[in-house]
Amino acid sequence: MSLFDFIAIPLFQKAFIGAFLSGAGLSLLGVVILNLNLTTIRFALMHIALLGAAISMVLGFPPLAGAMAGIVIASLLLGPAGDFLNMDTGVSGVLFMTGSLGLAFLIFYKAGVPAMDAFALFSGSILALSTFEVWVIGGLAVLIILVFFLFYREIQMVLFNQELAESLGVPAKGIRNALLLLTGLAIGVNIRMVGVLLIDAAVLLPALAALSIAKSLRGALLLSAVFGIVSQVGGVAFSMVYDFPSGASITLAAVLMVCLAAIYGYIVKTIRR
Amino acid sequence: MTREAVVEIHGLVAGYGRHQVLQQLDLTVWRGEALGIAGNNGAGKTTLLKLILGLIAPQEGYMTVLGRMLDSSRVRRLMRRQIGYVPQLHTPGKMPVSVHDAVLMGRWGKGFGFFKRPSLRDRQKVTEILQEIGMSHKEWQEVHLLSGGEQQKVSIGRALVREAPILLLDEPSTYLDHGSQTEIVELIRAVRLKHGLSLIMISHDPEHLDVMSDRILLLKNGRLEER
Ligand SMILES: Nc1ncnc2c1ncn2[C@@H]1O[C@H](COP(=O)(O)OP(=O)(O)O)[C@@H](O)[C@H]1O
Ligand SMILES: [Mg+2]
Repeated sequence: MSLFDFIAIPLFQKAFIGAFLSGAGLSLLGVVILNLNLTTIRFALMHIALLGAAISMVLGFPPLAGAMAGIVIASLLLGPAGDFLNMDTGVSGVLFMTGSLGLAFLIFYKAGVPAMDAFALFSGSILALSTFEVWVIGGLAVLIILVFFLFYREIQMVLFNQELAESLGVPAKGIRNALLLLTGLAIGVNIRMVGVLLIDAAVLLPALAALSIAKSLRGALLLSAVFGIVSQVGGVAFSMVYDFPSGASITLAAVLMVCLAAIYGYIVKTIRR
Repeated sequence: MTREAVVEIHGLVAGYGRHQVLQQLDLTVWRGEALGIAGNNGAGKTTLLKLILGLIAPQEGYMTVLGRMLDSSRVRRLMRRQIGYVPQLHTPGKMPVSVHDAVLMGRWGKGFGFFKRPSLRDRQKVTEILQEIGMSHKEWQEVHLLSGGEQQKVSIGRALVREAPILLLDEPSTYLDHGSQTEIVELIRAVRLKHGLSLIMISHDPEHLDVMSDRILLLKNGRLEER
């Protein structure tokens, strides 16, 4: 089958739309993750999602509901908890992570719920997206783009130097906490889409590539979106035509973006000299 | 001539949690003066500046800035518009920001802000100050590619575009090479006269303060003493 034959099938249409929306919107948060040193946050959120799933199963709810609730609550608490404990947000993430993992296993053991059902949440597949999930991804993507558009200057200041932003009168903590919440939501949604192991490809690598060549936050955001769309949509298309696993294709496409950006950056630097 | 206080502090007690850094501290800063505050590392100099900026709330005592009592977080945030702040030189992060944008940040709450984009006037102010601090030729370079001295100039530029009557400087010349130190000291002296600022400068090395200040106090055991 050619690519056009695939696009005619609704299942694949949803995958393409999901990939496009995730690339255009969710990958912008990679810029936030990299600038606020939050690279540990995704592990933390995964473990908390596991804890949420465990609790949810004990109470008789679907594991996904608990996982998402856990992610929302945790990303709301992450910033304030770090301030309270006087710790870097990244460090408080580690604390969250180990704590919730321990608790989750305790619950699995004591309540006798099947742990594998909770773990199954983490193997997302872009081909299994429901129409509702595509709407959720779309809504989140629009929200993220809107927030960056409306609060561009404030976000720029907070990412540049949080304390400086605060000294200029910007409510920097509030903005950081809002960004943390959006980041948590984006990670949660992406776990559903590409699975836990490939999450970096979706949220981190486009931003990494963008930041290696961008000259402003605006440039970094635009490039993140472009790289995100190219790697996600390109990865999905490649996986269909050549019958590759979609997650692996997206990841390899994103890795390719980072390599190309690095080579481009190197060439530009050499020419300037 | 009557002297007017721009900052007044009485019986200030402040610190972090149970760790008290400032104990019953009194201070009056007069309009137009350049006050230097010396003190060992860890004496609480930076903490004092952050209290004046309202970034930390005191445990006891009262403080006024330009006659307004800093008694609520609303007033503390509001009075930040009247203060330019040059924090201690920090290593810039990964995010690319142009010199223009970094200086423009100083206009937040003054010219632009929430739901209000920078105006032409904000941009003009940035251009004007960049000229004054001798950074016009680097306006569109990224801040993290600049030398320490140049980054410090950008930081001073950001404080100046605020058009605030008070300027706080945290170790402005300490972590620079000798040549840049002289340049920054000259710049601070020049902008102070041109803009008629009241300055508070801190440094753990009193020699850095000698040429810039009219008066130097020593922060020791949580209080200020005459030197
Ligand atoms: N955010 C903070 N949390 C806890 N303790 C702090 C914090 N900032 C500074 N301190 C402590 O307060 C004291 C004074 O610090 P600081 O005001 O930075 O001193 P200085 O600027 O004179 O070197 C030091 O003992 C320092 O360890
Ligand atoms: Mg200090």
